[in-house]
Amino acid sequence: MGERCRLRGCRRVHGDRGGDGSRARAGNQEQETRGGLCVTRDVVVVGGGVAAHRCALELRRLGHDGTVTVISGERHPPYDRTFLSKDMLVEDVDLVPLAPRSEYTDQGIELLLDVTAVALDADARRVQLSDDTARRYDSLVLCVGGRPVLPPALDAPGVAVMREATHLDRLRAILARGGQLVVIGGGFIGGEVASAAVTRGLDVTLVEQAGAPLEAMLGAEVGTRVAALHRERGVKVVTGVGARAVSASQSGYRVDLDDGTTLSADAVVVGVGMAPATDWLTGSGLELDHGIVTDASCRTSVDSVFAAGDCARWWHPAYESLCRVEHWDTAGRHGTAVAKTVLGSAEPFMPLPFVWSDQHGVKLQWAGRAAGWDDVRVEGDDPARFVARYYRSGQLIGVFVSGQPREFAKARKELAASMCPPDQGR
Amino acid sequence: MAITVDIDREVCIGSGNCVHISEGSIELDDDGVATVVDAERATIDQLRRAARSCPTAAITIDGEQ
Ligand SMILES: Cc1cc2nc3c(=O)[nH]c(=O)nc-3n(C[C@H](O)[C@H](O)[C@H](O)COP(=O)(O)OP(=O)(O)OC[C@H]3O[C@@H](n4cnc5c(N)ncnc54)[C@H](O)[C@@H]3O)c2cc1C
Ligand code: SF4
Repeated sequence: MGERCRLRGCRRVHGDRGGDGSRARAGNQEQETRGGLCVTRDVVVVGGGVAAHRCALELRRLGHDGTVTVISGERHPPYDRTFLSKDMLVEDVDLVPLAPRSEYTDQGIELLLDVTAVALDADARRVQLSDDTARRYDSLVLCVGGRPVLPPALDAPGVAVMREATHLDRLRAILARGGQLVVIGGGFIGGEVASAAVTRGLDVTLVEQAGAPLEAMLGAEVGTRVAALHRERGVKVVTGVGARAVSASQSGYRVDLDDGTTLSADAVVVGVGMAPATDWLTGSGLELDHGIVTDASCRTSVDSVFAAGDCARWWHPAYESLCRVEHWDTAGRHGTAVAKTVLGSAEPFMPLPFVWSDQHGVKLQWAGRAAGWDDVRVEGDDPARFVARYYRSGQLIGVFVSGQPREFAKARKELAASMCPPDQGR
Repeated sequence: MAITVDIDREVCIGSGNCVHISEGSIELDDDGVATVVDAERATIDQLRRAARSCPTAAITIDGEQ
């Protein structure tokens, strides 16, 4: 009789012999085992963002000596995505790679670029690729991030979104041409695009359907300050009304708002959020629910398949809930964490979510749990300099700081100290 | 004149952005905090960008001219 693998969460049954050199069966695949534990030889990482990048390098740092293949739908090796809506819109700078190409070669990491994973056969442990080839894996790590949401009614020819390097040329051309720009969506990316555009002299209108930019996450008090910051720097901010439709004509664009008014524009950028890039995984057996659902250690519902970064909705032990975070720093740490799980040490991933944004030369910073606050206390009226603390039942759970990085550092430490998981707090 | 790159260890959260922006002039140490290993490896523009782009504003550059 076979014996269950002793790796936490591994559901494979090893052959009779156990010990070195035996094979474990999973579906119709066999996997090498050593000392009763499955050995991962071939790791395939799907995605070309910061999570995939950190995962691949961490596998090597931890001593993984099997293969590591990174499959990315993008043409460029992993780069700093956060620049796309910041420096790169204002200056003529190149993409900033996360590592020189040689580092992947030196580390024996195979980068397959401009190739998309299109189907997963979890039983056969195989990923089907857009170039009609397939890759077999012992462990599969999904770091597929997300795609910008573009509702059909807003999708007129030439409307711009911002997620990948391929979107950059269009946006740069818009900013170079000047004129009137309508930005739909007042989240972090919409705010940054508006900020860059007004710096470059465009006539910018930001349309936010909530009462203020960032209000959905941060509430009205902070949202109104962010709106004030935009207005002070010359952005027209239209709030409390959504964009219903965008239409293109030879003379430009017409944006119809929910209240019956219209805006005309030379260009339109839509920044209304992103959706996990998981369509191709439907029917694969993976549990999908607003992201790829995993346990605290990045393990999906399917054997040998892991997920990290913006696409993953994982169990956060300290928050006792499923979380999906769309922030750079968290995604990078998630990539490091998943590599550890792949190699067998399954620690829970328990970050303090952190996001920053640069708008109008002001650093905006958030740390903490974005959902569930019932009280907010704001110090400071200057939109370019204030601190907001978020509480739930009297306990500090989040902090948003504008233009005071030292204050943020202090508050962040306070938060980190208070973040003890319920089962480890005693 | 030599470039001085100062990193506030109390403020840095070890996000690592400066590492790729500065072409290896800055690395994370064993505590996961950014530390300057060789300021000369990067151009002054790259160092300035690292400072401006640091998510926590932990980096100060001076003496560049
Ligand atoms: C313009 C912009 C600015 C941002 N600024 C900030 C900021 O200032 N601060 C902050 O905290 N966060 C910011 N973010 C968010 C941050 O960039 C993300 O949280 C982070 O990039 C997530 O990393 P990831 O690796 O999980 O996913 P992604 O970066 O989305 O990478 C996913 C990768 O997977 C690839 N992929 C997807 N599906 C497939 C497939 N089927 N096959 C092969 N490859 C596939 C994609 O092409 C992409 O390369 C910004 C995001 C954007 C778009
Ligand atoms: S970018 Fe800033 S916070 Fe991140 S590691 Fe460098 S100094 Fe620290």
